[in-house]
Amino acid sequence: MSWPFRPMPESRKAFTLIEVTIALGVGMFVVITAYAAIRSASQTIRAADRLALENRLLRAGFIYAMDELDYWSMYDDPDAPAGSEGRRLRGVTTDTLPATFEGVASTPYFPKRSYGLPFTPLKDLPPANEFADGTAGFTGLASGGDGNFAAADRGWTLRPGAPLLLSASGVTDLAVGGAVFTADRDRGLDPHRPYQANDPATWYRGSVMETTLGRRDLGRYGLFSNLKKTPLLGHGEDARDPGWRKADIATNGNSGYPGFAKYTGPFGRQTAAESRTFTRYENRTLYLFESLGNYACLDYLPANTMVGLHGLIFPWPAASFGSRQDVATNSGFIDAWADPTDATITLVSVDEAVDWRLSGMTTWDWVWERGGSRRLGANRGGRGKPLASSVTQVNGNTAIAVVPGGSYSGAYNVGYEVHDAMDNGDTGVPTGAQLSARSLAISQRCSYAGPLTQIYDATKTISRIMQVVPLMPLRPSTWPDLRLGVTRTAVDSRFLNSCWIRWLDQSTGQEVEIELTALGTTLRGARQQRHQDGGWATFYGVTYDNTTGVLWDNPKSGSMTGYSTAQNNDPTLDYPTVPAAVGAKRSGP
Amino acid sequence: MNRRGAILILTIGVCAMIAALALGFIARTRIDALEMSQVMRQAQARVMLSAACAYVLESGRIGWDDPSDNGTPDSIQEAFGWVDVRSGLVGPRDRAGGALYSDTKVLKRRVTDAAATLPNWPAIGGVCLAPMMVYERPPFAIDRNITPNPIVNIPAQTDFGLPLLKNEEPRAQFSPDLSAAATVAQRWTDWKTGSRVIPGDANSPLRLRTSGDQQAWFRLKRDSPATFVATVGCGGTLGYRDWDEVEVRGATARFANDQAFFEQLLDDEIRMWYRLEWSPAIRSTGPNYGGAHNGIGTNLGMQRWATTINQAGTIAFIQRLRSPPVEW
Repeated sequence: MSWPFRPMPESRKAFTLIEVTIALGVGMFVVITAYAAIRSASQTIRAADRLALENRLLRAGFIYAMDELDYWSMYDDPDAPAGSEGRRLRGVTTDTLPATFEGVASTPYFPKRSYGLPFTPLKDLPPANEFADGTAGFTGLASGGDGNFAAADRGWTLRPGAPLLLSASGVTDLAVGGAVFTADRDRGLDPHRPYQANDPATWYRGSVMETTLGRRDLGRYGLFSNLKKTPLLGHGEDARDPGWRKADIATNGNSGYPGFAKYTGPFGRQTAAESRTFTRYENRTLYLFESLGNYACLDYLPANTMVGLHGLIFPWPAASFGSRQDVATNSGFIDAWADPTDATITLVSVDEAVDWRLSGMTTWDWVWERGGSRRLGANRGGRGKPLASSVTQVNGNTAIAVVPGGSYSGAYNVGYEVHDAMDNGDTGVPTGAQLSARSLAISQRCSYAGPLTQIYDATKTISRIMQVVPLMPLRPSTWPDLRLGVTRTAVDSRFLNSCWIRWLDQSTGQEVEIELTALGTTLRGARQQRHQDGGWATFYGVTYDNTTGVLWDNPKSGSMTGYSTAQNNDPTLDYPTVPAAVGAKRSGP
Repeated sequence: MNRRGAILILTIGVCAMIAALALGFIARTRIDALEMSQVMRQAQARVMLSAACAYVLESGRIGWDDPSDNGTPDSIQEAFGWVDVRSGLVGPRDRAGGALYSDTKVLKRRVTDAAATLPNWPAIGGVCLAPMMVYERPPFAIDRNITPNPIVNIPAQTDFGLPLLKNEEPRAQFSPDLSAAATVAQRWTDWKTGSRVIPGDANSPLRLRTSGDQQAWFRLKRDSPATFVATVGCGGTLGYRDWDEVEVRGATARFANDQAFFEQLLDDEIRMWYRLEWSPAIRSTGPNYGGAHNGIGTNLGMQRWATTINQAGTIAFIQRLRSPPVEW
């Protein structure tokens, strides 16, 4: 051993290359696995977050949809400023009344030619129509009733709050004479008078087998019930009324002419004292239609209403009294029907005929061929022979909708489509602009699509009547775009509230849609939710009392001007300007 | 030898991260479930609005039979509407015009009140509670099997592909314990009795389905002859307005005599208030007499027109109330 002695170095702690290789491999495997695990977990969480977000949005959309079904805020926002788009469906379109009507100065009598929208407060519309002879309706005395609303008249009228419900004579009230006429005094809409089956004022008295253009071979039913208390029988007395001509009848049958045949009158009219003609039925129905439009008409009227109304007053172009082709060319009553502001249109009256506009006029060929009639009950009774229809039938195969007319509804296109069909359009309105009140008024008085047998028609219809609102206009750019679409239609005699909840995934471009229908507040209920001066109506909680007649929604004290305490609550859209005036026309206490 | 736990630490860290993510995921799922529960309650409560409307429509006419006088002449009491369609008087009234309700005040608002101030349903001011629990098997239940006659899809069988109606449809839902050899009388008794707490005892309460915690209900208060406040809800209170009402109606045992428990149920519940009006008008068949059933010229389209939706009236309006009225 040599000096200096060097011991053998201790074996150092180290890895062999193989060990390092294996260790690195295992380590890498662990790290990669861990990374993959984290990555997978984070992706899962991200996906879950995304799905959770979409689910949350879906839930929000659902809740929003339910609220909308209950409050109609997308159609009318009571909290929006007056005149703003939020309250766009409260307008009134008014035309100037003709200076004369039936040879005498015009009176505030049908047609009032002021057309409201579904949320127009009744106070903004002219008062309900009066009788043509200027009277305030049957006073009871003239018609044989006592008119004092005493016990003998009770039982005919019943409404929430009426303290006189329990008649002294009990169920034998049906035998009381004269009360029939007392009950006929109501005009327009009395928000406190519910429909009653026992109320003669709600009974239909027309002939359901007679066509609107019939010759009254089955009887002169226009005498039983009419817009006027003293209707003129037979052909109208207005010389402008073309009526039917024998030559036309020989050629074309009796289709296509709005009046009676020229050789069927006029036969004169009864005196007021002779008259036993009921008038409430016609006036109420027509008042609702004129005031609020088609949908409201269906919503408010009882389900068994017949809409064959005696008292035809049809618009007529002043310069055209020729053949039916002239009528078509000049868009005679068609335009007047669609365009209440057309000042060139004058009016011709045939009291005994049935107003076809509600009951099912099938119109002329040219309208038919151009996409189907847009009138209520268009397909009723066969072409040229419209019968008096029930509200069920007029809605049998057409969609009656509330046209939203808002910026988010595609309303411009909606309105334009409607107007195209009606040959009446806001052609000068730029794309994206709001519909005018006039256009909205027209839209609310159309029915849409007819039989939904073609997908094109169905799609077009839905696009017309759907209100779409982006629920998150200020959302983060990566969030899905959530929208709620709502349609409110009466289809096949059923009210249908449809909601579409849609969202567009910004990352995938996928669009998802959920459609649902549900029961909610009706249009009348929505109008009752709203204060006639804006905002929401406030109700109080006093229960009905059989003794005092206190209403459920009355305040406990105080009295609103014009109302008795028993009628006191916040005035809703259904309340008139002068409640006392309406109260005076009421048939009950 | 020193040991270093780098890998272990790394692994634990990763596991911790994954666990944290999983915990977050579970928490999110839990929150989603809770939120979804509220949506389901909202949906079920809304279904109750339909139920309330249907009840108003039907009970204007039927459901007033007094079983105590069954067997005597003219003993089946039916009504003629909430406002009698014959006279306009407040209904429901029987054939002779007699009221099927009493205005007598029989219910207090609180047990401590000196006098009763509320009449029984269906008088004006009366309240009807309708908890819509699901029965396990109600009387006269129909078998939910919607395909009792499936078409055989085995080619080897002789009736392969043939739509044979070998079994009656619909079929009664019997107790699963009913013997296949039961007589007709035994089967009838089983069918009309349903599933009872004491099996076979018709006087025993019907057995309720225990699955699910979504208890929907509605209650109606008649506030005028033809208008009602419909309160719809989903939760565990069974529609009782408050603890006072629970006490007045003697239902404290339903909530373990525990007001705090009731209040907890109340907090978790969804309630909505509506006002609705009944109308005696039914959908008109219109003038298609020639197209009515069995009439000349009948076709499918006219049959549709000639079919009324119901014979018990319609709902004139529904109005959601933004806040609960004082009386409901």
